[in-house]
Amino acid sequence: MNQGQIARLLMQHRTALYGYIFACVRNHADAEDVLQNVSVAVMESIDQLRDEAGFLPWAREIARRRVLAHKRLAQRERALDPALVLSLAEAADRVEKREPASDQRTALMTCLEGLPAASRKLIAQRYSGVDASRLAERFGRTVQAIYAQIKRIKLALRACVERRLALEVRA
Amino acid sequence: MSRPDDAERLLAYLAGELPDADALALEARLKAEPRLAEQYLALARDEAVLNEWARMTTGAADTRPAEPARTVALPTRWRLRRRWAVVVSLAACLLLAVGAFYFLRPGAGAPGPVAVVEDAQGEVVLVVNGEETPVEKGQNLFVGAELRTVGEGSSAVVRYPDAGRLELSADTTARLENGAPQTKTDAGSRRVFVPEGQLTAEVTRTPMVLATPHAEVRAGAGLFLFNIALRSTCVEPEKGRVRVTRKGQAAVEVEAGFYTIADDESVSKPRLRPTPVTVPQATLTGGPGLLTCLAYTPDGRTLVSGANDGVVQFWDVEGRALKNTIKAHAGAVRALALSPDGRTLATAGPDRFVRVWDLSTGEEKYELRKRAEIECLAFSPDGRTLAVGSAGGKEGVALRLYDVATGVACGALRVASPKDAVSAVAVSGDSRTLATGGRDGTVRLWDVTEDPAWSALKGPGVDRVTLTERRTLQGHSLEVRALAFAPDGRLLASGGREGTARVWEVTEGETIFHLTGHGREVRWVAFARDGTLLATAGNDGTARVWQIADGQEYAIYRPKRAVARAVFSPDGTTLATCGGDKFIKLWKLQPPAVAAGF
Repeated sequence: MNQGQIARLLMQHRTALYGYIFACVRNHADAEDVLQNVSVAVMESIDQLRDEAGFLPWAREIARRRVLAHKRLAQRERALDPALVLSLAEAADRVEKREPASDQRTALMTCLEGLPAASRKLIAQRYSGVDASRLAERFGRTVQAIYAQIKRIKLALRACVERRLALEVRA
Repeated sequence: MSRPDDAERLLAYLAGELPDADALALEARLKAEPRLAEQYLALARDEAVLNEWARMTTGAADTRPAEPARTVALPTRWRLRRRWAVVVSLAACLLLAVGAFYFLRPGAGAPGPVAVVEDAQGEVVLVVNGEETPVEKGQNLFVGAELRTVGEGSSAVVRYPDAGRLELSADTTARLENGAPQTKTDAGSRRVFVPEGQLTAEVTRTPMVLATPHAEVRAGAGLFLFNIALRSTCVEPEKGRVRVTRKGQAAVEVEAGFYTIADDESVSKPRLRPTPVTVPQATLTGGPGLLTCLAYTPDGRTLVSGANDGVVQFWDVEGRALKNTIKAHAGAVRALALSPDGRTLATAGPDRFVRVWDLSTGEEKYELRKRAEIECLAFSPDGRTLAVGSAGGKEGVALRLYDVATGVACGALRVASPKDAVSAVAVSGDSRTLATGGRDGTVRLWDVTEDPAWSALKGPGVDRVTLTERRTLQGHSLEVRALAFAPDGRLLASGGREGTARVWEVTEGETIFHLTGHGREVRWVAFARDGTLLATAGNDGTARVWQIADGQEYAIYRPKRAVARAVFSPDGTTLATCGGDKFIKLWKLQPPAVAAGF
């Protein structure tokens, strides 16, 4: 397998890998760093992979180890529970089988387009790094109201994704 | 056992908002309840997509959600006071609004809007009382408004309903003023003071006066191009006539041609020097974005350009046709570099990503996330290392070196202040010397040493490349914007924001030529492959070619807009330029005929 093929596989499974890493570290900056380390490790040890179909479980196993190593190195607040990281890896495997990341990504993008313009704007700004107090000023709401609204939008998006994926399965 | 509020708790846990005790309890459940863990994973994957989507939608510089802000509950008494404060503020606003309406209503001598912003690309700001606010399309402009386009890829179009339109190129400042009536029936011309920059004025009915630090130009109906540099104003009427008055001198009527009004006290009358307007051999027209960067592939068959809409375009040079495009960044392509073998492309954008592309497949190999604005990119000539220059930022690293094969960081250059930046970088032909340019106007030369035992497996933080400072070169008074080594590595060229270029002898660190033709920011320097010519691109709207043998100007090309890049074709027959518009212009490399002054 050449570097181009590995890069393609990494891009193809980026959402799934990032989602798992983010579930463990709960911080975007750390998740980005770990994903980059995982990408390098994948490039370096691709010879160990037997076939493309086994790529994601194999890369996720690398990610699990890197997550634990990263947290130990970073010496953050409290150490990550290895049993929890393993449980999340197993859950990630089941979720991927039930709801492949590529389908989930497409469904979520479609759901985002269907959001009311104001909600879409709020989510876009929040994920672009605008803090909640600034958003509260811009949208004429309290900070608590902004938090609550973002939470509602995320839950609505999740419900929308599940609906769309269920419809696709039936179709 | 699922609970009704599980989804909300999971989101709060994901955002780090749960107290420790609750987080521990939830973690115990995540280990014990597979369905809950799956629900959590699905939400985490949504976060990944939302993050990516926001980046694509807004071109955010930093895609991480900010830390939750703390809120403080006000005591009841304060809340009451706040209510009163709101009531009083509303009343005051109402009074102000009534007052404003009375004084500013039409017919009351109110200063109404005189112009409107028809288009704004990139960073365009309005300066009022020293305060800068972003400008949007459709925004009204009043007399006294100062409009500024900031940085590569920025531009603005201002329309006067009664007088025509102005098109401001990058890094241009224009203040809207009212001209004095010339006659009893003259309602007064539209006057614009332009201290620096480049603009095109399309004048319709009411005459327009362009005032600069060196001259005042009164333009009737027609189309005019202005370049205002540190020491001179150039005006080129494409259609129509202008009356040029040099400060303290009599007016001169001029027609089509190219004129320079120099700020030179020893000249007793306006020095108007006609120069033929050169015509490009060919023009490549592509997408809607304004072009910001340009490079030839080593075989010379393809030109790769980057635009301010984030698109990278690949051009078939011989067929003069667009072959392919890729959407590389959410914002403008700020820098691009091709590996020496032409197989790998690196691009950088305001989204703080460097993306590395495999040109044999057209696919992205990997991306590098930076925490500060990226200023420049360069591959080492051996193709093993990619240098990325940026502001130092919180990490204090202004230059990061990456192993091209793996994307792993393999060297760094630390700076003292987060504001220090590497604004230009180049690597010598033998990959043993690296040059950096800084915001303080210095050029630094570094010896490059490599650790042969380095492996990407060791991960980030372990250096393959070590930089040891050899020499500091001082000469530029402002930021160094561009650097290029001559092919033999003995000479280094640099371009500065103050409007000059320098050619340095690397061993001794001495300036051998100080090239002063541009007058405005020199944005790019490039040597021809045989090392005999140097091209410079400037915000004065020219690309210039210099002879390395004697430092003399060999040719001047005038693409008319601020020139962002000027690059030689590998066979040395053509100079390609871009900047300020959607076109790549190809110029035959020969000195144009120079008309004598009068």
